[in-house]
Amino acid sequence: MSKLNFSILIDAPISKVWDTMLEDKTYREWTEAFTEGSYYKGDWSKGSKILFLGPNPETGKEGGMVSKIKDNKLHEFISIEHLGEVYDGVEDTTSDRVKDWAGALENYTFANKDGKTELVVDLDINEEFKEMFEGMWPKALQKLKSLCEE
Amino acid sequence: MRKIIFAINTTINGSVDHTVGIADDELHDFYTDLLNSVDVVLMGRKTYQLMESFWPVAHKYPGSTQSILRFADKYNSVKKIVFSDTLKEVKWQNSKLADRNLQEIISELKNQDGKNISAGSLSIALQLLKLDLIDEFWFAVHPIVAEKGPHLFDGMDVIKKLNLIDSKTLSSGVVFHHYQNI
Repeated sequence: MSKLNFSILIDAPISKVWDTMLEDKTYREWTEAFTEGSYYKGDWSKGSKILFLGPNPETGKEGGMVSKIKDNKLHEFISIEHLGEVYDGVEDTTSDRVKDWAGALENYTFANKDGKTELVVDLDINEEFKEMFEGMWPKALQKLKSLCEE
Repeated sequence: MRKIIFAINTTINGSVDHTVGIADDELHDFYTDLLNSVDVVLMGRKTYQLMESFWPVAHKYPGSTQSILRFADKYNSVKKIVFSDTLKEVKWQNSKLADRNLQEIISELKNQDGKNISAGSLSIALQLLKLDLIDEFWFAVHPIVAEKGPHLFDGMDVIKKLNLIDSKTLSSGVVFHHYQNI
């Protein structure tokens, strides 16, 4: 597993960036860069289980990640622990397919920079997915920035 | 001589929207077999972009079965020629931009030895159909009525009669009709 790190400066207060990033309606918009139709089921409170879902483009059935909110400090920090995959309602946290990256963390850190918000995203990633997410995350963050600054 | 073939999913009423059909393992297996008879696929920009966004990373999606991945391997490895006035480069493995028009490339390919040539998008198939260059057709008729999306051979203004060779019914109710040009 290796690490990826992205940051972006957004001309909006932290509360606005936090809400835009996590609220259902705007979450669906900024995460379109990952898969069209992305959304989450669950909530962001510490200890909660959360599913990150979207259609498999070929089968049309829903799949994604089974995760847990490992930490949540309001307007400061969110840590997501990815436990495995879900597809068509069936969760998989043990197969060979997921064991290489189960336990991977994805962290969002929010900091005030003279009234603007610096958002830092760092995540554990296995090599196979690295290139894909290196391409997708900057696009997603750019979209989040424009939603916040609208 | 190598043949030009065209295969497509359609609803009963001719919608070819890619989100509408029944994409089960049996369907993918059928298309993998068909793609095994081909060594070059011709496609337009829209199909290229849609396919290029998924097939190279198909294995990363939950729910991509062995059948889907076998098809992905084949589709990723087959040679693809992309016809576009706007794309500057193509990144999908074994793909390249066409450097001449469709008719010139077809006549060159037809004069070379090789497996069959696939008309791999509706826009290419429509142009080849107007030129009467498609030798065989597979229409996979899904048991669905759907108004959404583009429809088969919109913009076609000639009458073309075909000869039914055989058909195959899948357990999903999809029926492949296999025709040849007369």
